[in-house]
Amino acid sequence: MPHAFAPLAELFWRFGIVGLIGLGTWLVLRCGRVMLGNAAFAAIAAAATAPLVARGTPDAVAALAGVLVAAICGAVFGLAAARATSAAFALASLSLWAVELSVRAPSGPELRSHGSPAFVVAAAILAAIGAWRYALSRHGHIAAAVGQDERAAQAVGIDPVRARITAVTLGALLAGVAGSLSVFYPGFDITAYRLHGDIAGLAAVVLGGVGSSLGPLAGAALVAIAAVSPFTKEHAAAVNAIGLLAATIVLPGGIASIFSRAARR
Amino acid sequence: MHRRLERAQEFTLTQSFVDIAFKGSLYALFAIGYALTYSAGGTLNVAHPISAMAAAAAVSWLLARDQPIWIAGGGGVAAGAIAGVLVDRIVLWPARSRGGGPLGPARPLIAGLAALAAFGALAPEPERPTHALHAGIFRIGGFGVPKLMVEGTIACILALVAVVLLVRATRYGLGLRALASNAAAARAAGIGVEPMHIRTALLASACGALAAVTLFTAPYYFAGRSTPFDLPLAGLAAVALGGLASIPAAIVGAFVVATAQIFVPTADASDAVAAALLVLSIAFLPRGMFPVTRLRETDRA
Amino acid sequence: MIEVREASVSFGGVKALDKVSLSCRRGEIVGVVGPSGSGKSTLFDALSGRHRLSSGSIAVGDASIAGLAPHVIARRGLARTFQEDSLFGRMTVFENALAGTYLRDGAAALSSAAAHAALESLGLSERANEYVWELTPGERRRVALARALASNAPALAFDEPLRSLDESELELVRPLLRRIASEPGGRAIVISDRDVAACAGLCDSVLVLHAGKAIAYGTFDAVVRDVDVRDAYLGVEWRQ
Repeated sequence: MPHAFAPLAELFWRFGIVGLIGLGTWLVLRCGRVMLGNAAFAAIAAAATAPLVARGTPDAVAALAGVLVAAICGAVFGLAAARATSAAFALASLSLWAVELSVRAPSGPELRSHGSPAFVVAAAILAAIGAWRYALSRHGHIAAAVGQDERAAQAVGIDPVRARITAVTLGALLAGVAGSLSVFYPGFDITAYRLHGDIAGLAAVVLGGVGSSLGPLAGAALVAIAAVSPFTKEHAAAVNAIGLLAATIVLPGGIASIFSRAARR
Repeated sequence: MHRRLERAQEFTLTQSFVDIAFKGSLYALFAIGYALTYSAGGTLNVAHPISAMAAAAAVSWLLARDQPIWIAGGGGVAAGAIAGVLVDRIVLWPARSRGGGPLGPARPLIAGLAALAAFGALAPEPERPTHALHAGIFRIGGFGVPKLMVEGTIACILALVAVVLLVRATRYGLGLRALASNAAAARAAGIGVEPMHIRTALLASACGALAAVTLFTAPYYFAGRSTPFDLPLAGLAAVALGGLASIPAAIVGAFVVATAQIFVPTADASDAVAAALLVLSIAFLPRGMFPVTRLRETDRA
Repeated sequence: MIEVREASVSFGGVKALDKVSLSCRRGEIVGVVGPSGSGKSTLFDALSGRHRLSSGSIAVGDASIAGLAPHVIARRGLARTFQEDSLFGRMTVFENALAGTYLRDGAAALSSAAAHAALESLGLSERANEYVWELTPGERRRVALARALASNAPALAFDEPLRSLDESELELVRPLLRRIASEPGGRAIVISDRDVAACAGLCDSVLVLHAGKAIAYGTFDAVVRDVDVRDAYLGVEWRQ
């Protein structure tokens, strides 16, 4: 994102946006599928919200419209891809990069965006709490069961296709919240969602840890720091990718696994 | 007037055939890279485009130093092949060999994507060649086709045939098919799994690199009619249409993608066609146009 | 409760199951016996909807299950275990059992009480908070059984439930199976094993498979005296 902003505010903006996209990716990962293009739903929401804001639609209505559009697109994608094997699902999610490349929206300066990061941070925290409650619920339990052994999940009566459609739709909805709210960020630029948004979201999940909904938030904090820190902000995309790679190979449980290992000792 | 219209239609038809032959062979060569690595490891190698990016960078560097096109092309293929093997050893092998852990079977997939993103962020954009690559035109029925395009298409088609023969009729191919069916049984039969992965990475990356070299040097595409996602998206759509585990099917899928793309005028629209075909084939043909019965556990996941 | 009539399953040109029939009512335990490759797991997979029948029929309860997805058959009242343990690898023992209560009594929430009771009956209460990858093979087998029992399904299909169990575990599981079959309201239980002796004193009837075909079906005593069974497996006269 091109323009300088009060670093702390920018940190919170990034934390909120990446945290929401990451949470959405986490929900789908829990179901045994890797969503490599969740940022596309954020881009879709932003592309739906920005023109409405430009036309003077009340902010809340414009944001809600963007979220709904993203959720519907997520549901459609889920219906198309939920029956696929894990490799085919990942393959299909890569097609969302074409969406990221093609959506257009006016930028923050053109919209004269002036929002506070408080909303997006609050949304990310509320989403994490909601996701935590969801994980503990009956539906959350079955989503995890589907992700760990689909055959056994079917044997206890769980429909894995329906579980995946639900996860993808919820994931798209959370990404949609990020996209809609990001329109109010002064440095908003829809091109930020091209590939790098997906990497940031995945990095948040893997770095933070997949064991609970707090993991993506913890990872989002690290990604946001990298994006704002004067040592790394010029190469934030590379830092996220290298961080994701290192965590995947060396610490697949994320930083949360360090704490849980220490606690078990 | 009628005759001039007929000539215009001839040119369009001829141009369409040339387009399909050119793009289809490129996409097929790139797509079989995905199919080969999936056969060996049961996972989608998202980092496959790195071989293409390394090849393009090498070609650009060599041409800038006034090397002849055949040396630049060969250097590009070699660079792409080496890059692919390095990615396999440094990124994918550790992710594969340590088991899934909390990330499950998604671990090599995520590692591959991270490697691709890191490479894309750190590697400089290669400069497309501008000088005398335009020289040389073949006339096909009155329609002028750049010489490099024809040569590139022939090279890609020959490479496709060579790969199919390699997989069908050699010891390596038998080992690959055994590994694709049952890794444990392949090991027990004495097939070295990791050497097989290395050879497959080399072959897959060389294919991807050749496709990238051909696309990168084709003056037809210099006018900005391709995007960086041209090859990867089309390659993915081809394997989705054909079926991840089958090389001949991926080739057919590639030509289907190329045929569909001739109806749209711009590069972005071409990407959209490839993406749409990808999603539609996953939704309605989950095992591809030519379903192959596999015993591989990952296919059931 | 479980009615299999002339069921056949083919994979390409290979007949994995060839006109096999069995009947299991509530309160009964039927054993399916045969070596590896005889078709036991194929029969169980056909029962639970993982394989389609090429001919014949299977009914659970009073309704045919032809063409139904595995999760739908589970909702019709069939719970099963697998030959290789199919456990939720990143969950604890308790969470695995809890997953089995997903369909229980049409409840909106999972039933902790039912999960605990199932674990208690299989001697796993003390391991409830451990992850399944920390367990022995016998304990993992018992967790799979607990998950099925927690569902309260009236029909149970256990693929090699006694494999990997040591003597003390066998002394726990065999009477448990007998007990849950014959309790009021009873359950129909189909089990499989490679060894016909496993069915002694446990199964009301035994079906013996060989190369996908049924070569004997009757009481344990009748089956072990069957000439075809002796030719295929025993070789010597069975001595009790």
